Amino acid sequence: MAKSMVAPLEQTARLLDLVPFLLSHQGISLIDLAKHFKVDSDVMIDDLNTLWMCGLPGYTPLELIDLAFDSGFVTIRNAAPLAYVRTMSSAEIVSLALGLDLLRENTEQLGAEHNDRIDRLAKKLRDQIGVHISIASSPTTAHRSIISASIARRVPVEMTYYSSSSDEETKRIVTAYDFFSENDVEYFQGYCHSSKGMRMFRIDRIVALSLAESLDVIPDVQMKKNESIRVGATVRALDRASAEAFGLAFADLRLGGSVSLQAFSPEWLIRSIMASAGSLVVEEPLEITIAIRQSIDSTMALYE
Amino acid sequence: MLTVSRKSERLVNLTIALLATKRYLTKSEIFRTVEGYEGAPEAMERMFERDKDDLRSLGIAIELGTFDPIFEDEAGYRITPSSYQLDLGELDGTDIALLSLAASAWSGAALERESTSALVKLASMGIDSDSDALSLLTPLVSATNENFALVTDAIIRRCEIEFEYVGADLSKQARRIAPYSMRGQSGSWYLVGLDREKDSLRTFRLDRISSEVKVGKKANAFDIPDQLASDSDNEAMEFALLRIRKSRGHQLRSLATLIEPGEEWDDISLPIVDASWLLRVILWHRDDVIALGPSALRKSVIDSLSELRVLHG
Repeated sequence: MAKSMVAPLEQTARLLDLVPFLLSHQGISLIDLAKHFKVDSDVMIDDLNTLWMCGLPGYTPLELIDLAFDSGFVTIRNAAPLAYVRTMSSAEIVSLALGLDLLRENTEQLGAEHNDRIDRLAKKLRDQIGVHISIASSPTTAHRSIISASIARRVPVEMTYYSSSSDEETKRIVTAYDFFSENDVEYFQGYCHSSKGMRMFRIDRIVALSLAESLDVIPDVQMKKNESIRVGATVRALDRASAEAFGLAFADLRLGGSVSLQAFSPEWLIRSIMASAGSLVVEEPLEITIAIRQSIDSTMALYE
Repeated sequence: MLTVSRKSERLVNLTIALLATKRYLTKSEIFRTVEGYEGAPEAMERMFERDKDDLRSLGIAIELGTFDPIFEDEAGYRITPSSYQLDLGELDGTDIALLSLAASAWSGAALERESTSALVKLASMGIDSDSDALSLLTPLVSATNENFALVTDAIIRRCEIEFEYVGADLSKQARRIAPYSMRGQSGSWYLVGLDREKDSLRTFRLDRISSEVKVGKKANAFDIPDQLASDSDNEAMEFALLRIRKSRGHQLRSLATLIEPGEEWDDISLPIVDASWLLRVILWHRDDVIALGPSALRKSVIDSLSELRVLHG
């Protein structure tokens, strides 16, 4: 619907929604008004000029909607017939219902007393549209908001983190600096107070996370990305799972072709190559190939 | 730009006239009094039909009726305030604050436009938002996939969709689906729908759709069954028996239905939902996990290891 709605309809919807909004926000500045509707000021002025021409049949000053906005602040009068807040579309309701799903996961920060409220509101919305669209157990969204808070308030987080390369869960205190995503995987970077250095963490590997109590002073450290490793590999089988693990574009993979693989730790790389079950074969550098061979041999020994 | 404004001006005027009237307005009354209807009668007729469709697409229901059926008056039109007006039942300031927070989650994501207008409507209800009751953490939806809004729209309107899907072997498959539901899980969006070709329920990950989703023109093209048989309802499921080194293999342990602790190793069993996924995870854990059974699983692990060894020889 986002793309297909044509301009006049989009404007009509906005005009109808402008009236009740202005009635409850008399004297709002043009700039704020445009912000609320997420349009440019020019578009908003055009909207107001159009709305000014609307009213009850007869269309004399007695019937027309009366708007004043020359001063940069908007007031509205004589708009009673359109004072109703318009009913929501299914898509609008879906956006609210999904947003509530996320809040539901965030009740740890919102306070559990809101649980019932959120459930009641979500049910009310879903009853109106009867559509099955939901967000379930996606802890990453909750984690993301805690990390944003950590960055904004400069408060460290207490985190239980699953290190996939060592296959271990560890507890750490980290002050987050920033988010980034690479190949559709989200990371955050921060100073790890436990290991006293800058580290990168994958959001989806966080087991538990909460804001730490204390307001620690952030140590003055040089930000540096962990050095990543690049290896050359040959594609031996077209395999979606391997492509996704290494963040390779599907279209770039050709049977027998070469690809460059990136990893942040050799251990993760070796494990991922093993998991590719032969669809990707590392050609160089030699020390990685040797490490992979050793890894295969020690695993095979278990089956002898 | 001028024509755009003229059309929306006419639509707003029509809405005002039909909302404000206590009785049904006949077509000729509308053409005579509502600003913007001009030209030959057939032209106005066509214009009015289009305008009615347009208002309907904005969710505005136009009622057709007569005041006095006995005298067979000409049918007329009106919009009843009760159908036009938003009705979310009783809401207080905290409800409004929660709903507004829910809408803000779409900042920069797929339903941003819809959530913006929802937010405007919430703010127009004249209920003071009690945001002090809430902490300031705003969760953010991670749905920037451009097909997200298209699929959502298709589910709401029950239109069939077509797209190209990347298979496990990277082949591109054309799919025609009746979309039933969508859920976000572990950072990905999954679409569940009836595959029209295969006539069975399938799950698709949104980021594996490699084309733009084509939404069929026909609305209400299918019914969504009340109970969706889920993929995991399969009863005749096989179990894998794995031996895992102590304090290793957290991912596999979390799926275990049975754990038998030992000295250095623990034995666990878990249902095999996706055999190829399980094979990869076992290989990924290297010498921390041994596949004990069933024999087909054990054999595929050994075969894969042998192949890996040859390839990296």
